[in-house]
Amino acid sequence: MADPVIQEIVKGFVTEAQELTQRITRAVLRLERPGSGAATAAAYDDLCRALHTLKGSAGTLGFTDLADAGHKMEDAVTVRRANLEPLAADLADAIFQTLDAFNLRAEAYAQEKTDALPDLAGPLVRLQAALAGLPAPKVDEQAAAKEKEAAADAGEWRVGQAAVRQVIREVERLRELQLRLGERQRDLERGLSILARLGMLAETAEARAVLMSVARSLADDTDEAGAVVEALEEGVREITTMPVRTVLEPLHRAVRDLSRQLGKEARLSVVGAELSLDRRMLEALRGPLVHLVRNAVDHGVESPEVREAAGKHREGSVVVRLEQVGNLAFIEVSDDGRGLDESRIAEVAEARGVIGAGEARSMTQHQIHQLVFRPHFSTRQEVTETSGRGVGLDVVQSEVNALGGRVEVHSTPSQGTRFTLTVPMDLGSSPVLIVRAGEHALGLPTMAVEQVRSARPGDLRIGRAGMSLVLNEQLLPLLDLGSLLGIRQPTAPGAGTPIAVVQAQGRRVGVAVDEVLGDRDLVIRPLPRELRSLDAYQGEAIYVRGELILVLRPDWLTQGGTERARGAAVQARRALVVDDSLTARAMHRSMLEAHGFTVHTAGNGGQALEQLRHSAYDVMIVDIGMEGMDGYQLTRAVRTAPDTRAMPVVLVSAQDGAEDRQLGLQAGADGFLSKKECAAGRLLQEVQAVIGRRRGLS
Amino acid sequence: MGDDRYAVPLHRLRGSVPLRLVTPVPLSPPHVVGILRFQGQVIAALSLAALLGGRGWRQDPAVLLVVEGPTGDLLALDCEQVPQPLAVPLRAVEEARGRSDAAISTVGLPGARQVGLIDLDRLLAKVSGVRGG
Repeated sequence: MADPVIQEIVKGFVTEAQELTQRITRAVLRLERPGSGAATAAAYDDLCRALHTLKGSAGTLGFTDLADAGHKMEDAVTVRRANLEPLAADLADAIFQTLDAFNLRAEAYAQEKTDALPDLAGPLVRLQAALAGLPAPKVDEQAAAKEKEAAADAGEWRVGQAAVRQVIREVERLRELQLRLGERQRDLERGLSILARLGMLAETAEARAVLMSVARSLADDTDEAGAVVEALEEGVREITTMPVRTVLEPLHRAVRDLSRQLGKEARLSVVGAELSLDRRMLEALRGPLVHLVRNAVDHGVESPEVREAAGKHREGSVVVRLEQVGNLAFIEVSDDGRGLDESRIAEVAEARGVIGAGEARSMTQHQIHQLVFRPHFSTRQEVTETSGRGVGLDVVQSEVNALGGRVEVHSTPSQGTRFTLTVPMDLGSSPVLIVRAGEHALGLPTMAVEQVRSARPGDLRIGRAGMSLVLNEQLLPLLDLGSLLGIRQPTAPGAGTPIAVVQAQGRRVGVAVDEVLGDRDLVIRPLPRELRSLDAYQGEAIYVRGELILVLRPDWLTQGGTERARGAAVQARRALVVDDSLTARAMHRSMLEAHGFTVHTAGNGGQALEQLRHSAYDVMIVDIGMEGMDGYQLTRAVRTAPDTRAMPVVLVSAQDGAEDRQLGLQAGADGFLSKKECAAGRLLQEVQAVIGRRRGLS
Repeated sequence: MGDDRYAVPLHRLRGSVPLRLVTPVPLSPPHVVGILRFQGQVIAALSLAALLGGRGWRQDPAVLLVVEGPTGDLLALDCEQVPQPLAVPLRAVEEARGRSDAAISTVGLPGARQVGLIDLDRLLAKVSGVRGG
């Protein structure tokens, strides 16, 4: 057993060697392409410095074999540097192979596996051959793979994922506890102001002094709890995340190697590589990312000749872009190639029985694109080393789904294809703006909110395409959150209505909300499985009093929400269901929506009247036995208002008594049903009958 | 539910809680009542009546049954009354299930009572979160 201090130094050397390898790889990739004299010189300088450091570090630790390998790579590069020549692809291959072997061997030293050191001689022979312009000797692929596997076994110490997840849960609970403490403090302060307002200042002086002292202590405790939670979250983040570049760096070489193999030219660019994301997620996404990037080169990017003929740069571009918004990671893999061939996809899908004959004709472009995720689907006619086995995108999708995420594909013919992976992460808390729309409290990730402003009539434009907000001389789409969520008809915001300016995926919209309730650091968790297909939400969070709030996806607001609102606006018949039972609302909605109604709901009479002030409905279904304003009172209120006087009303009662029925008709209802009678069809019959009768009367 | 009685296998039942503090989820499918917290986790509450195709009910559901769904996750189903354990002869259960592959199979009990046995996996197969397209 070696000296532990030396072993620590060797481990440090392994890390340093890996970092230098990444630098060398980047420089070699740059030097493979022709560039300006200055750029080439700079790349050579960087390459030589990195190789020199690598050689020097190995020599310092007495690893003469590694130092020798570093020296030979340096020699090979120096010859080319003198004339500022590009690096030949064979020489670049040989340098990469030598680096791989170098790192495996360094790893073996760190693990004290000196009796089974990976082979370095083979790669050095290939390096010499490449330098001399000779064909590369054959590589023993199996032996290389074995060595790589052995090196991957290296580890520090291991903790079970379940244990780490449990720690994360406890930290999340602590964050929620801290939020509740803050709320208690505010409650206490509210109580103190009430006491002060009551005026009995002398009588309550002592009690107020004690309570004020408690409030101050509680504020201090809340702050301290907040600091502890932040430190814990930071610690958890350090354990559970790793830099994205560790997964993305190897992709540069994968693109380069595959392009060479296929006779193409392609370059990988990465945006957001500095982010650190959930380690398990990144490990799980490594395979899908490699697959998507390889797919982009193989299927997307055209050959240089085809690209030039199409007026494109001969070198294709593959871009991986990463972004984190709240607890969601967005990973985009795009190329500027030929795009998905829709007719070919449809043809193959029909031929393989994935869809029925002629079915493609009735499919939208989006639906056809989705076919590429079906199992055993590939448009390639031949199986090649890279593609054509029909195994791939379905596996990508299932692996991303297994993480609770989703994959979407967008493609434009001859412009390129973009795959977007959206994956939720366990990342502790993140700042959330809490807003209200109708009776719903909803969260917006603060990172996506540029600003919140009050509506001013001069800033609003209402046209055929919808509402717009004038902001800094720009016109942004303006959306009503309540209508986007399907809880009411679109409403133009009145003066003073809060408008959140939300940006995501390069788009900005104004979102009018009923109220801004504040902002908090909240732990956002994915929704239960049954609701994960809802595009509108990125998760749920527990708010200050333990209540659940739904957190909206900013990109849904900036994209999908807009389309949804337009789609909803063309529905013909509208129904308002007023019931304090969630189940009853769900049931009525289910029956009516199944028959083409757009259904809005209200939990009590007050909310219903508020909705009716802004929106018109073809029918209202009202529960009689609601707390506060009951169904009779609501019906009478509706009958006295000029705008709603003629609106058909169906009363629904838990009882089936003749007296209830009589009272309902006296209040002005058009129809009456017991809840028992609300079987499928019966409610609909009654609704259609009352609408028909009212139309007959008008 | 309404005039009908239904049964879920006892081994899938994890709890019975009052139907309150459920947060509605706008834009959710009609069979979703909302989400709620149950023993530290957030689960979906679904309308049994809607899942069964919109049958009528006698009174507004007041109870949620927390059951284990097809994927092992918990979810809640509403019902009108606090349920009672009921022993049904295994043979009768097997015979009823053998007659049909529907989500509900009816079994007759002494006293001419009929109970609809709910096959949770079949009932929830379409809503258990397997995302399509």
